[in-house]
Amino acid sequence: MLIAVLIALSNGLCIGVSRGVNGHLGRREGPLRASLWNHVVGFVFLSAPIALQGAGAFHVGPAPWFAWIGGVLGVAFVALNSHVVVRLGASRTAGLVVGAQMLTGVVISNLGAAIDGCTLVRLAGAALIVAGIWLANNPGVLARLHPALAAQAGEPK
Amino acid sequence: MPKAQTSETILALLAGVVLASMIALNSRLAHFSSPTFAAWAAHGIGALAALVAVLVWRRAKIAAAPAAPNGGRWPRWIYLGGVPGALTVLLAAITVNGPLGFSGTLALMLAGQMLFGVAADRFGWLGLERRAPTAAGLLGLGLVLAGSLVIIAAAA
Repeated sequence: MLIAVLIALSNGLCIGVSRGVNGHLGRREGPLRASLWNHVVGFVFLSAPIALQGAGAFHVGPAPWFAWIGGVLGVAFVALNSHVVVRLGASRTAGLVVGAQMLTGVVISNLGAAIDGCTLVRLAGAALIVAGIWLANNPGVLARLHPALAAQAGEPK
Repeated sequence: MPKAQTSETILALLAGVVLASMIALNSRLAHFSSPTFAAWAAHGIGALAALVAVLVWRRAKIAAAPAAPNGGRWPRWIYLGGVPGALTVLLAAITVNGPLGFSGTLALMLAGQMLFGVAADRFGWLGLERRAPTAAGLLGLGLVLAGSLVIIAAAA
């Protein structure tokens, strides 16, 4: 269990590293070229486990056509991250991306579903996320609530 | 918030929307094949799409002025961002099918991502500008994490 926890945590680390490295490359090549490099290198890297699995790896069931276009969205995802992370910093970027991802997840998982207790809990979680994003982007609020924090709330309003 | 950062904030939020949709689509493909194949195919199709995008917008100016941080030399590792990106898929495939399940994996991935973000800013890792964590920033990050955990717990 501990090993699984460490693997999952380092997976988050991989996302952060990938974002930072691509951001650095984006500064030199532009975000779109950084996204191209990311996908080519990732494709080559993933070809190793695919080759190890042999012909069975290519067995694909009747997937709908739209299941194949996730990679196109990936291009936009990496380009957006590369552009943003060098401007907002790694922690703010992580907070914004994670927040919007979870909010979108709530919308997707409630599409066409009946509203039940679970929906209300999810909405409460969503409210926390919105409050967090708002607070991180309006540090002056905290300073006004508690003057002692003013010195720490680095950015000017 | 400085005005110049408003558009970046919107773009970062858009990245989160794109990410959630992308995960939904990729898992659909993984359902009909395997997580590794889905990730491999997504990277291959993504590489082609990125190539088209680069060719279409090849005249577009690079937004940020190219500035090598250490005496004009760019390190070689800047081209290897795709490796940890691809590793994400493989590691997730391991832990989702283990005792943590999907919800546990997602929660720990979010936590790891945010912890790394704070550390990378604090110490200026990966060529990022050094930024000391602010009280509002940390509290905001804590609220986003708490809200995410509530949503994940509701799904479990």
